[in-house]
Amino acid sequence: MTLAEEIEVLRRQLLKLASESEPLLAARYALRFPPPEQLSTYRRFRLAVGHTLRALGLRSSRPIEPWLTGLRHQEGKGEQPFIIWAIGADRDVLRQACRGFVSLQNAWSGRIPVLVTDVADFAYFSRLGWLVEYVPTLSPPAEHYATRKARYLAWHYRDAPALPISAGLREGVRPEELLLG
Amino acid sequence: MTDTLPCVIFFNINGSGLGHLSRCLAYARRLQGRARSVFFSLASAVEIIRDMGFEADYFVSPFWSRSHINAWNRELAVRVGLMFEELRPEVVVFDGTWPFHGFMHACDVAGVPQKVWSNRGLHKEDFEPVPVKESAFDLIIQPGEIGANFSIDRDERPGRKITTPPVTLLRNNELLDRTQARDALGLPREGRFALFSLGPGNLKDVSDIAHGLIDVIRRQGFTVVWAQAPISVRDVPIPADVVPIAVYPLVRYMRAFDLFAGAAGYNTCYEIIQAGVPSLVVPNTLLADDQARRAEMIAGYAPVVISPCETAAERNEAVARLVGLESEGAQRGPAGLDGAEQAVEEILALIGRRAAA
Repeated sequence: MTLAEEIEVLRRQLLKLASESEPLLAARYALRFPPPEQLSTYRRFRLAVGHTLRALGLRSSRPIEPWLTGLRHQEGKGEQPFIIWAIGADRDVLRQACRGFVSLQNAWSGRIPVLVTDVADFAYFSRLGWLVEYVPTLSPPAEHYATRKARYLAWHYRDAPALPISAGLREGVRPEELLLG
Repeated sequence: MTDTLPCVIFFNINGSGLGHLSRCLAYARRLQGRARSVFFSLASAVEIIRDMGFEADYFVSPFWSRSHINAWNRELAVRVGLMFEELRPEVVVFDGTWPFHGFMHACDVAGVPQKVWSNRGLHKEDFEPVPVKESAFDLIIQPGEIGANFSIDRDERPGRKITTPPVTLLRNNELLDRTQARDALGLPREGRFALFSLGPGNLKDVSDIAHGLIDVIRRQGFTVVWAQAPISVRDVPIPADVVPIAVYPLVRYMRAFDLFAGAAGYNTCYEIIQAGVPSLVVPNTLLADDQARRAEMIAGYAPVVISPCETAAERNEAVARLVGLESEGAQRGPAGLDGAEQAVEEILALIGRRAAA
């Protein structure tokens, strides 16, 4: 298979995985931020006015803070992620692939990597400066945890281009072959 | 076997070192055979948790994430909620200074029956109170400092509050003796070795202190061994003749060394007492806990020198005093370090009360 074909296959798999995610999961845990308990009368009045205006559609709602995949100690300013999907990878092969991705960083087009993996090699990952999304397998009764989390992550990062670890293992990959857009 | 035991989930934050994780591991090890412990860790040292025989998931710490704290809390609620749904824990133990909004929300939504807050004290005087009510928890465990006995600070429930003696990861009899430890580390049985563990350096750059101290201690005829922290985001460059090691828990091997130099975090201080190795303690003043005060407190129980080691003069003076302590050897006074055992009995009592109800 060519790299382009492997990327295509992975992205189709992730679309399917995302489609199987639970729409109610995020809704169930949707978080509201109550105002602090000790507010002055003036602040309470301002909040009530703002709430009323938004309810009437006369004031736009505050934008929800986006989930950013960058880390504070990370080099580079990009904020748009791409996903390195490494579920089921061998630890040493994954290290080799990560070194490959580091050497390809000029091809990332301003994007930053998010490593999705079930490999617990964090002493190594910590030094990469990438966000790691870990997908552990838990024993019963939580045997479905890994599948549910993988589906959630596929949905959560559905707008980010994904790459298989083979992209980091190939020699002489050209930036455009990564299809990062 | 594990699916017949009550499940306890430990939620540890990521501090400047591995203190919160180590404390949760201390509890989990004492629960073995009586409960199934699973970790939701904000510290990235997942392989350490696994090596100690426990399952774990990881989520990026808010101190590392560039996301706004609200976005991070939203994401946290989903991630940890998913774990609660799958494991249906009897108890969730939060170890950290400030229970996150996303964590508390997930506990409520998932119907976590009982919450425990393990909240180490000894904060600096300017530490702002945390706006989370202790009554939101069924039990508050305050892992105490040296000299603390078990005490019930508040008996009403929810919000029962206890203080324990210091919590240590290993029991005293789990530390290797000098010969065993040197063999395990591959160090020669002869020779003088000094161990450095100045923290991961993620929040405070320890390079200058480390290099200055390495120079001074080498001149005294010691071979320096440098403990690499598993959560470091970058390695502190060390001279070629310094021996790097990466082991956990470090205390198991501490008696291999003639001298120790480390930060004054909670776990390190009580591991110094356990090991009885003459130690140079370098308080980190950038953190919420009063490390300088803790260092003073342990001085009655272990041969320690306390110094900020910021200047060459301070380092020279500290090492001269440290080498003078070398002949004093082991522990100075009896120290109760069974806080983990006592905390675990309280956690099990919570589970028992619910089962009885």
